Amino acid sequence: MKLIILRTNLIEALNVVQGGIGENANLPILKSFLVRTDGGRITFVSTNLELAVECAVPGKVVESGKAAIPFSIFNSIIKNLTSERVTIGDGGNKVTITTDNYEAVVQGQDPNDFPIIPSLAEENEIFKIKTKEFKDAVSSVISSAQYSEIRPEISGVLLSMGGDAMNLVATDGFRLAEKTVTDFEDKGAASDVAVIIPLRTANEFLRIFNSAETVDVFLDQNQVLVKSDGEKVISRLIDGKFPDYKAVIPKETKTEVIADRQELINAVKLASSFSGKSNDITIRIGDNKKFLEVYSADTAIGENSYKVPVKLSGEKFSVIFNWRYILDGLKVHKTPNVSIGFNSPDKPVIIRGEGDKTIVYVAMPIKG
Amino acid sequence: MNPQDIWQTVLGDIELQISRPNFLTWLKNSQFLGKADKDDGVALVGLPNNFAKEWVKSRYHKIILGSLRNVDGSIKNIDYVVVGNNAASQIVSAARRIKSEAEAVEPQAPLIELKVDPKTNLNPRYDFKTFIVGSSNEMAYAAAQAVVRDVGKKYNPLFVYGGVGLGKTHLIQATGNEIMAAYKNRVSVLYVSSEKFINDVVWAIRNKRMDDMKKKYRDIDVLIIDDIQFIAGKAATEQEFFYTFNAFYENNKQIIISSDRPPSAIPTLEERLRSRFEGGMTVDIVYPDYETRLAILKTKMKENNVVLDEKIVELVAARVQKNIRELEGVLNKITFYEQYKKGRIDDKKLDEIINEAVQVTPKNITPNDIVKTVAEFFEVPTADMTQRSRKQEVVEPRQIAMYLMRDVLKMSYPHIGDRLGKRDHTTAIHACEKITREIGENPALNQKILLIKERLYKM
Repeated sequence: MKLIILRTNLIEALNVVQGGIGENANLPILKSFLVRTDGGRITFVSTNLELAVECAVPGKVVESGKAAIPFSIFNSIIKNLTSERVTIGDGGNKVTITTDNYEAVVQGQDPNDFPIIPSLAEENEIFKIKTKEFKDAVSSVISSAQYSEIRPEISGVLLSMGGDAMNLVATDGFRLAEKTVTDFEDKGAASDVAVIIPLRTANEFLRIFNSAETVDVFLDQNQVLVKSDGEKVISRLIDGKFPDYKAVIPKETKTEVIADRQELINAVKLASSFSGKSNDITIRIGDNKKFLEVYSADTAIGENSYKVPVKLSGEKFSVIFNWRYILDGLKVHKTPNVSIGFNSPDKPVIIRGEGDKTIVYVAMPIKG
Repeated sequence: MNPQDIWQTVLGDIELQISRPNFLTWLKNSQFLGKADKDDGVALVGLPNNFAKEWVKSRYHKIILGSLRNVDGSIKNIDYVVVGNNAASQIVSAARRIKSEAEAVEPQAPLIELKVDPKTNLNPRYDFKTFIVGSSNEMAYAAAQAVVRDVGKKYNPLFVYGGVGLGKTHLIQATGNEIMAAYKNRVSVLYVSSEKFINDVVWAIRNKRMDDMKKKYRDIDVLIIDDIQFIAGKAATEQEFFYTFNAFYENNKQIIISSDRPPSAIPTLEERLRSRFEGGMTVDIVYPDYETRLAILKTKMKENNVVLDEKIVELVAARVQKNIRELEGVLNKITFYEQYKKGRIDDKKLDEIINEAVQVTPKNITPNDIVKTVAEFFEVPTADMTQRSRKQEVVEPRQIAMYLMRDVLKMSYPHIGDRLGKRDHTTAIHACEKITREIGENPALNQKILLIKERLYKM
């Protein structure tokens, strides 16, 4: 095998496959990525056996072949090179990296030991969507997912399709975000599906697909594939039943306030620096009903209170929250104003963007 | 040969032919699912994920087929399927797992509908905060607290017993929840009713999947079993429970058991199980006293946001004595009535509601039933009870019968004396007073009387 690739292209490709590099004591080859040529195309592949990432790399194939190259050493070599043109060759399991003034020989692995990446057939395509739309949708909910694997069924993002709409949902049991997407092209592999995409895979979706206009999404019983022209992520799905999240979203609220989103974010951030160990801040409406007060106090630090002008309908209230949950809830929206619906101090609060019905964010208060 | 044995043989064979890392990565979590169809000779092999499927199919197909054919000559081909289970995540080394959110905020309220935890079976509604402690249950409460602090070491097993509706389930579930919270989910807790356990055993026996069942229970750190008395007399279940119990005990894993009576009073329970139950900490929950009942009512009222007249609450607490669930029931009925009528409940209706709850049982019980039941319980001839015999062994039964006649049937003392050996009414008074006094001091006696009453009501 002999390839000539521009350094900038290499760096880009390495950034993509980085997310798939695995650590497995039994299978050290997962720390390597696979380089292979199909005709004139060069492809980099990495996997951790839960997900696999593939990416096409522009470059010149002088001699076709394949090699498994340890990621970390290769990555640091490429990052520190100064020459633009990099030649990659191999002999046995040794990989040579040469530029005008540099030469390295890296101990590689037998490429035949590299895991075979599963694939999904064309007829499994369920929709095609604008990349930006897709990444926006994933990023609106991903911050609400459970980060640990205590409850596997919520350590990911639910993708459910039905009718003309698709919902992405994530929750950690304390808060929940739902994004509805309608702007996509249904490919009809399945009409009603609900699958749970692992959090790490969802993060990969966000990290890569930076240049492609659209992506295609394929599904079967236990894997999901998202691909663009040059890049491809294939992953297992989480086996489990996502909780019945619809029941969690309050149908109506007693009080609704509309406030400037940026101002509220500032208020919560400020209040957060005064909140105690439990991250608690109090959000309340005072007697004159013109301001929403964001208040926090800690005996060791002091106290502060920030007043945000609001439009209010309903009664006054006072609820204690974990400021992180509120901040996340404000950040997922993009509209200038948000509407916040309250019921009572022990019922979930609902945050919506004013004029944007597609994102719903629900958070539970801290028990008073 | 069952599929598991076949697969063990095949795996043993393959392990010798491929490198250990490869074996561990690709085949360790595989399983043999039998033949797809009896005749076509296609065997089904389950693999944890698509990577394993692709790899095994392309690399090990020949070896596997060869080994399989050595065991079962009728197999001609293999189909590989992905079996969705969590084994897929086990394949990845534990080191890769993301650490649990260490700074999880304690008082954060979870989204209500997401609450019931499918893994532990625990209902988070039950916690120590809503468990009202009085003299009737403080021992049990303290023991449960000690278990939370020292899981598996201090009181193992913790055996909680007491009558219906006194809060056993609440206490043991709260203990489970507290352990989950205290150890930030580093321990796995499982709550099962004994019925569920029995069903699991029956299922495992029928489907020859005993190993799965064993694995399921033995991966748990804290096992909570409710109403254990139901496993008594079911030999296979008792045996399986015995093994599970021993496995837990030897590994210092915590077991928490509840029952409606102490281990010694569960008939047909195998002796070896009984002695094990008694080896840990046995605590009872008895009827709550007046103050506790009042406190319970007030907590419930606060929980449900209702306000009732202080007098009514006191009356309910005073009259509904034997069951917390009944206490709640009466409270609910009164609140419902008041909301419906939009006003204070009148004394007559109140009386009706309470009586309905309190006096459900003794309708058809006759003095003869009492004598017969007591005699049977103590295994003394009925005739001795009703005659003037002063044999030592009939004295206590007779006194208990007198007490029950007074307590359950509200009979007059002269009448009681007359029924039991033509005795004077003072003898009856003495017996009733003596038993009433001793119930408070002697738990064994209390237990006996509860059991007799139970039999009586079952007639």
